[in-house]
Parts: sequence; C-alpha cells; structure tokens
Amino acid sequence: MSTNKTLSLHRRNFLRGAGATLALPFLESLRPAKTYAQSASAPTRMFAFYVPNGIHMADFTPTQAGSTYALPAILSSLAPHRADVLVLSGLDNEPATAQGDGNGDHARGTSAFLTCAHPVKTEGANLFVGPSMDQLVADHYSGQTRLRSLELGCEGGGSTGGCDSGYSCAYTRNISWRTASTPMAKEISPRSVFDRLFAGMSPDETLAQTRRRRLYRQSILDYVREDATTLQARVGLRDRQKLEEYLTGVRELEIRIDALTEAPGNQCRATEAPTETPADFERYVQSMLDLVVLAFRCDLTRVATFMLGNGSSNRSFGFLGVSGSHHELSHHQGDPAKHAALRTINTWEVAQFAYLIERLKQVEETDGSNLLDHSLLLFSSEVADGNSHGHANLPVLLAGHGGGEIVSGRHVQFSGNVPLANLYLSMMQTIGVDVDRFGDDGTNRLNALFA
Amino acid sequence: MQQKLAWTCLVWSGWVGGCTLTDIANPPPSPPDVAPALPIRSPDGPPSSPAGPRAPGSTADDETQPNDDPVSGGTEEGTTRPDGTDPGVTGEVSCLPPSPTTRRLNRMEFDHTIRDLTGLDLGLARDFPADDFGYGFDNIGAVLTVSPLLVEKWESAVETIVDQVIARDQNLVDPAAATILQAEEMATSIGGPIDEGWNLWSDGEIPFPWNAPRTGRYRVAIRAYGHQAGPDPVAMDLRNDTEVLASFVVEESTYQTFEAEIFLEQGPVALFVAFTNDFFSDVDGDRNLIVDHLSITDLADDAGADLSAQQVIRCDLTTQDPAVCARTIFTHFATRAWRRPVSSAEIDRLLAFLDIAAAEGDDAITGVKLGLMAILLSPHFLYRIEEELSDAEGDVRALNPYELASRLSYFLYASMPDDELFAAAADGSLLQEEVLIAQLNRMIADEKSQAFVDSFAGQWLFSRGVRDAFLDLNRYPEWDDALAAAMEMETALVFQEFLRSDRSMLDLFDADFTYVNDRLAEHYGLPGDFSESWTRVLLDEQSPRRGVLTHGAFLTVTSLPTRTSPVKRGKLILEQLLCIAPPPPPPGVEGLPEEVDPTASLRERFEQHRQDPVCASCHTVMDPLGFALEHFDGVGAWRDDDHGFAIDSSGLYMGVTHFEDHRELLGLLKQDPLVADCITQKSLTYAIGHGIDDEDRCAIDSIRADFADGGYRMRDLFTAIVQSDAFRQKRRQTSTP
Repeated sequence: MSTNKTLSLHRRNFLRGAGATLALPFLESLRPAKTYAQSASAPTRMFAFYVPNGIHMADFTPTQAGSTYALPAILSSLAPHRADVLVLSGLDNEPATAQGDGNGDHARGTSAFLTCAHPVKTEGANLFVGPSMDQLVADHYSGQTRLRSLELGCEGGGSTGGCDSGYSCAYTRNISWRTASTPMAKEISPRSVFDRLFAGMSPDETLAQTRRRRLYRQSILDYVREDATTLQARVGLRDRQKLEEYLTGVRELEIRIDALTEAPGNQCRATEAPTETPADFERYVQSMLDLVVLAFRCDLTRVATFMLGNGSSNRSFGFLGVSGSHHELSHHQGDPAKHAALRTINTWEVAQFAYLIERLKQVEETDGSNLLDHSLLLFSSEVADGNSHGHANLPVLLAGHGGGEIVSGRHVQFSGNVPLANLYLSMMQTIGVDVDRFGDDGTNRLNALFA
Repeated sequence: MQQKLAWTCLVWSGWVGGCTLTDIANPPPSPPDVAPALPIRSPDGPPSSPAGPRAPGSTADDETQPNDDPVSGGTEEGTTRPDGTDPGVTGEVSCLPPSPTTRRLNRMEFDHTIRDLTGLDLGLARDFPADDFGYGFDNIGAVLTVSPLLVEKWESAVETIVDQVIARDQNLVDPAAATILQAEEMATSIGGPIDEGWNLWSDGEIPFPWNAPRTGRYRVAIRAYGHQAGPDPVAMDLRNDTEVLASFVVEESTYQTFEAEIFLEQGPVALFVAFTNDFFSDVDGDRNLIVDHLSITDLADDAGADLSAQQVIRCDLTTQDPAVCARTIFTHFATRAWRRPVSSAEIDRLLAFLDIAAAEGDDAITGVKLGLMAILLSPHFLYRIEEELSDAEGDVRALNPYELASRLSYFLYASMPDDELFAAAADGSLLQEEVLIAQLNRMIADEKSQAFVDSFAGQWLFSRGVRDAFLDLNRYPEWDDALAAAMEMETALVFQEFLRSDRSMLDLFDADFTYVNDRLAEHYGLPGDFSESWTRVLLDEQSPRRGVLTHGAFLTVTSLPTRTSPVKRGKLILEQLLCIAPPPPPPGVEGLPEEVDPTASLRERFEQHRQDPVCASCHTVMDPLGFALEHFDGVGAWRDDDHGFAIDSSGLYMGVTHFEDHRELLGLLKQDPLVADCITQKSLTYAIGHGIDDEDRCAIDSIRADFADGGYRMRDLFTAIVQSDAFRQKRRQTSTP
C-alpha cells in the first residue's frame, strides 16, 4: 500500500460537510493512476447507461448511414464526440417481448436489458432471467481489481405497491444480474459508492497491518460460512436456497478481500469524499458518473452499470421545463406536445452520456491514449418507443474504441432482426471474454462494428 | 392472497350482475403433493385447534357449501358485518399451517434489532440496498433476496457496531476509567479543528451523544481553553436538551479541565458544551472557545454490579482469565443476538478467535471483537431460522418457544424479543395461550409497537410511499419534505389510535377524527389555531376529511406528478382494501394512455376510453372508486372544481350500488364484508412474512371470524392471528412457497 498522504479519506470531512452539496474535487489529477505491469496495453472497461421509458426515436435515429450522417436533435450533444460514437439502429431484443406473458414490457425490457433473456413472470418468489453481460465481463477480470463491478443508479425503490403488471420489482430495479436469480443491487448514494471504492484503503496502514486485517476478515467469513453450511442441512428446501444466496455473497466478499492485498493500492488521489446526494438531479447524475470515471481511472473496477431511473420511472423533469412525469409522457399517443417533452428529456439524457464521454477522454493512459480509447460504453433503454413498448429497433449508442478494434464515428443500420445479444457478444469478445453465445438469441459477432 | 379474477374483468361484470363469484370463493384444488390433507400433530405445543374449517387439499366440489363463501354466502348484503360465525367448523379436518421461507432481517428490522441488542441506535441499514417486496410488504421471506452488495454492507455495518460497542463498554467494566469523547469527532455545525480539539468560533454548541449505562451520578470533565478578547473571559455551559447543568468561566488560554457532577438516567443522553459569549472586533480581536474533549466517569460505588442486558463487554479481559471472560461475553451476546440459547460447542468455536488474534500478537479484546463480528454476520443473526421438521415430527410441528417469541416480536416490534418475552420463552410459558395473549397485549401497549404502525400501516395504506413521491413542483409549489412527513405522520397517528383503542377497524374508513399539525391543517384548510405539535381534531359528519382514504398520504401516493389518477386510486382501493387484483390491461394497451383533450374534463376523457368493451369491463368497477375522490387534488388538497370543470364524484359501487359522493362510497366500502376479509389477509401476510394463497384460505376464515366476533378491534385480530395454527406452527417445506 502506498503511503502517499494525498489519499486522505477522513470520514469527518464528509460527515461534517456542513450542507455542502457535492463538488467534485476528487478527480484531482487527470494523469494515469496506474501502470499495468502484466500487459502492455490498458484493459478495456465496460459501462452501460440505462435510461427508462424508451426514446423518441424520430429525433434519435439518423436518416443516413455511414460517417457523414446529420446528427438528430436528441444526439446534438454528441457533436464533439461523433468520431468516438457508433449509432446502431435495427437491433432487437426479442427475449424482452411478451411471448405469451401479457403486459409488463418495462419489467421485461429492463431485466432483459443486459441479459437478453426472457424473465420468468413472478412477484418475486422465483426470480429467473439470466446472468447479464457486464457480469460475464466482471468474471473475466475477476481478482484483478478491488471491485468486480459497480452497480449505480439514481432511483432506489418505492417502498409500497407493485412495479409492473405482475413482475417483481427486482426486474425493474436492476439491470445487472450475477446469476439468473441474483440481481446485483445498485448503489444510489454517491457517498456510499465512494466509501465502497476506498474502503480499507488507509494510507497509514503498513503492509503487515493490511495483511493482518485481511486475515481477520477471512477468519470471520470462514466462521459464518461454516454456520451457513451446517444450517443448510437442518432447514427446509427453500431455506437452503436462501442460504445459498448468502453463501454466494460471502464468496464474493472473500474474493474482494483477497484483491485488497493481491492488487495493492495505486497512486490514486482522492482528497475529498462526496457529502450527500445532491438535490439537483443533473449534479446527482454527474456525480455518479464522476465516480465511474474515478473507479476506472484508479482501476478499482473495470465494469460498471448505471440506471438513470428504474424501469417505467415516473420522475418529473420540471427542471428542464417539462411538465408531467416521464412514464406518463412516454405514452404520448402521437401528441406533438408530448413528443416535444420527450425530446427534451432524451436530449438531456444523451447529454449526460456525452458528459461521461468527455470526462473519460480527459483521462490519459500511460501510453498516451485516453481512457475512452480503452472503454466500451453502451447507452440504451428498455423499450424503443415508449408508447408502443416495442423491443425492436432499439435506440443504441456505443461509445469508446474498445482498445482500437471498434471503428467508431458511424451510423450503422442493421436489418433483418439482428439480436441485441450479438452486440453484447461483440463487446465481450472485444474485451477478451471467451464466449460464443449469449442470452436467448446471441450467436454471432457483429462484423460491421469492426475494421 | 389476492382474489385473482380469472382472465378478464368480464367475469367481474358477471359477478356484479349477480353472479355468486364461485371463481373467487372456491379456489382450485391444490396439487396433492403440495398440500396433503393431514391431521396436525404438534408434539410439544398445545393441542391444535379443531376449528380449522377446511382442508385445502379437498376438492373444490367438497367445498361448495354456500356458507363457506366469504363474499356471497353467509353474509347478508347490506349488513355492516359479515356473519361472525365460523362457517366451516365441521370438526372433521384441520387445515395445514403455511411453511414460510426463512426471513432475513430487512432494513428496518436490522436497525431495530441492533438498537435493542446493543442500545446503539445507529441507523446503518440506511445504506443497504432497498429491500425486495412482494405481496404488498417488505418482510416476505420468499421474496427477500441477499445480493453480494448486501453481504458487503452487512460486514461493514457489523464492524462499525462492534467497534462502537467496545468503545462504549470497555470503560464501564472498569468504572474508574472515563469515557472520553473527542470534540473534533462530534457532528458540530459551527467552528473548525484546532490544537487537537474543536474551535467554536461563534456562539454555538458541540453535541456529545452518549449512552448512560445506568441511572446515577456521573462526573463530567471538559478539557478546554479560550481565545480571550474583549472585556469578558470566555463563558462555557454544559447543557442537556432542556437545561444548563453547569456554567464555567474559562479564563485560561491553555487547556484546563472543568468538572461537574451530574445525574443521568440510563439510556441515550445528549450533552452539549456551549460557547455563549462570542465577541469580535477588529481592534480587540476574536473570542473563541476551544474544546479538546469531554470525559464521563461513573461515580456509582457499585458500578459493574448491575449490568444492563445491552452491555456487551461484561467483564474485564485484562484482569480476568481472558478465556473465561470471553466465554461470558460471547454466551450473553450470542444468546440475545441469535434469539435462542447457544450451545457450548458454538461458544468454543467463537473462542478460537482469541487464538487467531493472539497468533498475530494482538490482545484478547481484538479476539473478542472478531467473535462479536462473527456473531452478527452469522446467518443465525441475519436470518430468523426455524429449523425443518425431523422425520419423526411428520409434516407439521409447533414452533418452539424461542421461535414463537421471535415471530411475535418481529410482528409487533420489527425487532428482537425484549427481556420479558425472552423470559417467557426461556421458561416455556409462552406456549400457554394465556401467557401468549398477555405478552401480546403487553407488547401492543409498549411504544416499540410503533414499528408495526410504521411498517404495516405505512405499506398497507401507502403512507410510507409519500416520502418517495415524485411531484412536479411547478404544479404543486406547496410540496416539500415537511408536508410529506406530516402526511405520513397523520396516517401513523390515526392508525396507532386504532391499535391501542377498542375501536372497530372498519371505522378507519370514516373515522370521526384525525391528527394535524399547523402545516397539514393549513394544507387541508381546517379552521382553527394549530402549532407544530400534533393535535387530535374531531370531524363532523359533513367533513370531507373522514377516513384514511382522505388522508394526504394516500391521495398523493395514488396520484401522478402533475395530476390525480382516478384509475390508480381505484385500483389501489381494490387491491389494498378489498384484496382484489384487477387483471392487467389486455396486451397492447398497457397503462392505457389517458387522452389529452383540454376541452374535456378528466372524467369525460376517461369515459371516452371506456367505450371499448374490453376496457370497460374493468374500468366500470375501478374508475368510480377513484372518481369519488376527485375533490382531492394530486397532493390531497380539497378543490371545488378541476380547473374549471365541475367534479362529479357520484358513481356505482361495484357497478351496482349508487353513491353520491366519496362519503357515501366510504360508507359502502365499510359495509363490504370483503374489507374485513382483506384486512385479515394483509395482517396475516405481514405477521408471518408469507404470501397467503388459496391454501391458506381456511386460516383466513377462522381468524376473520374471531375478528368479527370482537367487533373488528385490531386487538382481536392480533389475538386471533397469534393464536392461529398459521402463527404457532409450521409445515414441512416443499420446493414452492
């Protein structure tokens, strides 16, 4: 562990914050934070940006294909970054369709968002959808970073009522799934994320102290694992499955604790933690995105997902001058006023994605490239148009160069029911994940993305 | 169990036209392998009640006794109460209790349990991921999942808890040692760090929260000095919440100690060190108070003799044999944390942590810390384990007294059993019905049963959701957190009165009282003088504010950010109060969009989409319930018209009975026997943390009958629940819930 004193994470600083909303001084240096000893080039980071309620497609999809397309209104904030972005149209997520299960397209679309698997319709007792692609990437990098993956969002969960037409709220609140039945719960507090990123990184701790601490934590986990295993033999069938969830969590934590000493700290500078969740929604979103940049830059994780809202979120966007709530507006019924409202919301959403692109570009890697060059950033929604709830021709953006393999700066039009899962296969293969099928319908890489 | 309306509301239309609703009343037979009709055997517990009316495994044909039907049979239309007699008492077969999946502690339960276990109210679960909920509640075992993130949060919380417990208790064992609270570590709003202390640079105070281990006299010592300026020396007060305990003149300019003897009640206490005579001038300088720490010493002669149950470190590891002392500590703590006696083998395993620490050169307290963390991170603490039946026990067994104590305390307290309940479990007396009921009544009266109000009522009546409501502030500029909090409080206070009094729960729907503070009274337009504190107000028959459905919380949560949603209101009345789940809209019309036609009233716009017969079948039942409440806007304020459109709040209840306005609707609702049935279902679901389904029908019927007999008092409902087999017994688990 470095004894660099600039990593000063005094709890008091943020507990005491005296009402200061989140400023972002924790990206003090934009120089690379880590050199990668094992491989010559930086690893490819993966990020997914989920927005709820679909997109007003008429102002999203460029009319021309290729590299000289005119930027539609919703994509206007991408103008400085068009060389770094692929607009992909014509991709379908067939597993999210009803297939006899009736309504619930938001829940299905959200749970299939990164899994490309058809979820079991349930109120919650037997969740089943499929592992998500970010988790497969996290498996690939497992043990190399402090955190396997980071799941973030800006909407927790209401504490009353149901979520969508007989689907468990787990399906509308999570896009990341560790296994078919285990959603990866997300963090919604910037302070909490920050704590988690730097937990146990004490600059004053000697290596011996770090090792002892790790040994103690492992010994506690050994104890409780034995408790759970012994108990499994004495409880009912369903209780055994519940304890299995617990055991999975314990195993994950062990891997994480191992990584604390196996991948010792770096020169990352973090001078001040976030204090509280900003009331201003844009600042809130951007503070979460800043934490993604921080985590990538410091190589604390290489995989992150972000949910701007939960599936069918009814957030009000009054701060954009839009009256009405998002889900309600998305049922626009062709009303031009609602189209305009959706265009405003969607334009702002893409601008947040552009903000992330911009921040990643500012971070230099050791070889002179920037962090965006070594990232793959996905942007999409659980449905295409919010009124028709379709899962075909989804709004998809892919930013970053994935280590140079992706040929960006184009609008690529697919035709003939091309599965979204094939995009994910392509992303995973680019990262180096050994996978040739994904989800319910992913079988081929999308050659059009590559040189 | 929701009354699932088969396929579409066309069934509904049939029912409201006079159908006997056999689809609802007679659940399909359960698969024989899931619910064999076996007699209950309860080897340890009291004999099972013979009152269970029906075996769920019997066929539907066997059950078509008219009086079995909670909806149409046995109950005279229009009477205020369903038939109080238990229609199904045949004495021939008993119904089987459910087999709930083990429940992990949810966020509220975790915080409450830690508070009652250690005396430290830390609220650490705030940072845990949101709890999953199903069947309307967030305490359903089968639905609550454990994500890797949660395990990580648990581990981190457990370390914080144990660190704080040790910091608090270490000094108590040795009463001569003082507890030292560092000023710079306190949550102070004024000043900044200086000289290893805290500089109060203008008038203000530093809070020193503490937990007094016993009632008695303590010596408080404050280490402080002053930046002297102006004519007077620095003045410092030691205060509690209400009064000044001691005043000091701080004439020194280097650290000195200022002492006072004070009397404290056992439990949390807030002490404050205040700077009271700030002074500043460009000429004469700046007067400040600098505080290093506050220390507290117990002055009781017999300190250590009478330890509270919440004290964790109960002996001195430095003077006693550490293994003996650690055993004392672990046995006491694990018994309470795991809510059952622990075996000496379990303690032996914990003692191994002392060796692990010793091998690293650390002292015994480090080993104890690891053991305490393991106790709290163990599934024995985080889950409420009820072991599976042995083969000898067959398929049903009575809960043991500790399991029963936990069910009771998590039902009412959302927390662990208190000392008295533990004692009743330890001597086995809790298995006696009269002891069980006495404990129930004692706990209802205890203020900790507020947890039931917050959790159950907050979820059943939706008042908890008001905290998370998204509202368009352009549309509702009056909306803020204070108003939301007031709304949540109103429903809680009203519900609490029903819990502690003998009123019929059906009066919830037209109660002649409510509680308001000044903010809420203004929002409601109630005449009179009100203050920040809560006032109980009587409502006459003409008042529109009678009943929980006219509470701001319910009305706001069932609205959209910019306007009311009669459909949502109607749907939630059906689901929450009548336990009727309308089927989702037919494919293709999900969340049926509401027309924007500014020339029509909201109601007219809805009438338009009801032209479609497919939609109409449900909406003719659902919408009138919501339209009846149209005089309340999207944040529950009264309005005479809707943006210039007259409001028509009349309609047909269930497509049959005319009501003129929401008051008449609430009267009809109150008379509907489905309401009492639904309250029973919701309460039992919450009490045992298990989604009630058709199999559990007989348990509902039996409890509802007792509920009715007592005049629908909440106390009678609870008594019937805790006496029921569903609550006191468990069945062998099958693979599906």
